[in-house]
Amino acid sequence: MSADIQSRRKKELIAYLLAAILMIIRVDFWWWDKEMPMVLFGWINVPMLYQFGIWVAGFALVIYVANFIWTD
Amino acid sequence: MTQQVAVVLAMLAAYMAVIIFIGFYSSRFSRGTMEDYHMGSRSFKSFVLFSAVFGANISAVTLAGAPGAAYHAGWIIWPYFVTSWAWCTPLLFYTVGSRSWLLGQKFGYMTVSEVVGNRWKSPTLAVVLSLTLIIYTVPYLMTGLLGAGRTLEALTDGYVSLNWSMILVAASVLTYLLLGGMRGAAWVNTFQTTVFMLGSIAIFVVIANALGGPAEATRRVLEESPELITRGKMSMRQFFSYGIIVAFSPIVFPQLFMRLLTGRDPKTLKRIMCFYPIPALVMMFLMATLGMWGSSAIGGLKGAESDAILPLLLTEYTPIWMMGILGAAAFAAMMSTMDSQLLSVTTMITRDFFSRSRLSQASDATMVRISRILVFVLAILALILAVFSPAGIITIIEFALGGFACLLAPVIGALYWKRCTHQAAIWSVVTSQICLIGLETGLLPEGLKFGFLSGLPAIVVSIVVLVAVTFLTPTPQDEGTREYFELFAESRKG
Repeated sequence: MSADIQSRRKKELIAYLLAAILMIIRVDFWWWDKEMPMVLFGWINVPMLYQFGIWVAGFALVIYVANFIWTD
Repeated sequence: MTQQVAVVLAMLAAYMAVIIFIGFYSSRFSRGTMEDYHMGSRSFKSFVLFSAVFGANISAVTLAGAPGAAYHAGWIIWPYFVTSWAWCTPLLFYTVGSRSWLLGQKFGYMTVSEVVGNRWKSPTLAVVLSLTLIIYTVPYLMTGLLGAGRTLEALTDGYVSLNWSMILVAASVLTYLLLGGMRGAAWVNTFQTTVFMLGSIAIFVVIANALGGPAEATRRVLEESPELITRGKMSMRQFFSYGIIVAFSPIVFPQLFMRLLTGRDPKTLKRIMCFYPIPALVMMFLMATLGMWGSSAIGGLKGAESDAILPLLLTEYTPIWMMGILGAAAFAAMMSTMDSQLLSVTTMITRDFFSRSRLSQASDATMVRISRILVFVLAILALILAVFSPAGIITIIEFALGGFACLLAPVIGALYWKRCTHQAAIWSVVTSQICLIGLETGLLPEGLKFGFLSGLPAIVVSIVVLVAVTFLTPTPQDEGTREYFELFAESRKG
């Protein structure tokens, strides 16, 4: 197996591992069912920002896979 | 007929006329072959393909189900979908889509069942998969009719009844689908995706303004129903399990899978993969937030009644002329999924069942005629089911999505695991579906769900059975396995 394929496999493994971690930590149990103050524009609270952060991380992962793993 | 009803109907009629015209125009490019009717000759470029794929995925769930669910459960409904589906589905475009696209190009495959079944040249597996996919696509198709029907009923203040609304929607979809097939649907979807994305932003801005701004609308929710902000209406286990289900299922939706195969080249797929998460976030965020605000603006909706919260907000808070335009946006989202579902189920029936019968000798022209008849029959069937369905859209979807998600394990097994056997794939499908249906209907004890949605234990069963039966059966030595992995190895070398 060529070094290039091996390196791509390693990258794939890391990407899937990160995806699995994101799927787990999206459940922010530490804030669940608690009243949190609205910290942005008077209608966005910290758990909402955290969930947005999960989306950003997932999006970054998609960009990484498209540009560094998926070859034409 | 009131002025409101007349304006809404006139604007929707104008919208329908545009999409029917696009369908009619696209039919001039038809080549009259099965490949062209079902796959648009695999020639779509990035924007059309993105619209076709995204349109196939954004449905009544987004425009009716999500606001309806957020009405009862709060803002958590947008992360319920977006923090897994919006990025995990595009990742699976790579995992499943890239290899399936290669197989589609090389062997002319159109359906999930062909890609998986032909790995082992197993007609039994292909038929089992097709049947399962059809069984889950039909209720999903029904939700499009229900969503569009409830929207039109609410926008016309009950002047057009739910049943007549659904008949009108089904008739419009049928017209452009019968005329233009996949090409017609993809072109119409390009227009529809633009309409529903711009329309959703407009709906949000107008309603937020009418409610006194986002901060005021949220403050009112916090005062009247604080649990919608603190997420007291949803358990963490439900949130976790739905994240897995909604992430794993879209890639095996027949309508989405087929459309991935219509891409012109891998670059096209990569482009849509990178763009997909953005509108997914925007749409879900806007719609769920509106649904939550709706709970304090229009109180008292019970169960599935809340699926109509968006048109009710439109009726209450927007000028009449705007209701028509925004109603068209809602219609666009729902119809774009329905057309692709109708087409994909037809493709599965013709490719996975008829091609194994005497009809396999029929000419392309005959098969296209049969496909058109099937599209019509399926639309009527979905209409009949929708008329008798009492459930809310999200309830139907959670069940259907669970069924689809269980199929991902055999798909991955077929594309990535040389040792995997067709017996394992068949047993994985059968046992996971028995588990899902058993848990949903109460035939299996509730305790086996461990507080999760039924789809999650069923997914676990699908994986465990796939692995266990693979090691209990002999290593596959068939031609299909060799062909598949040689092709993948070649593509890896570039």
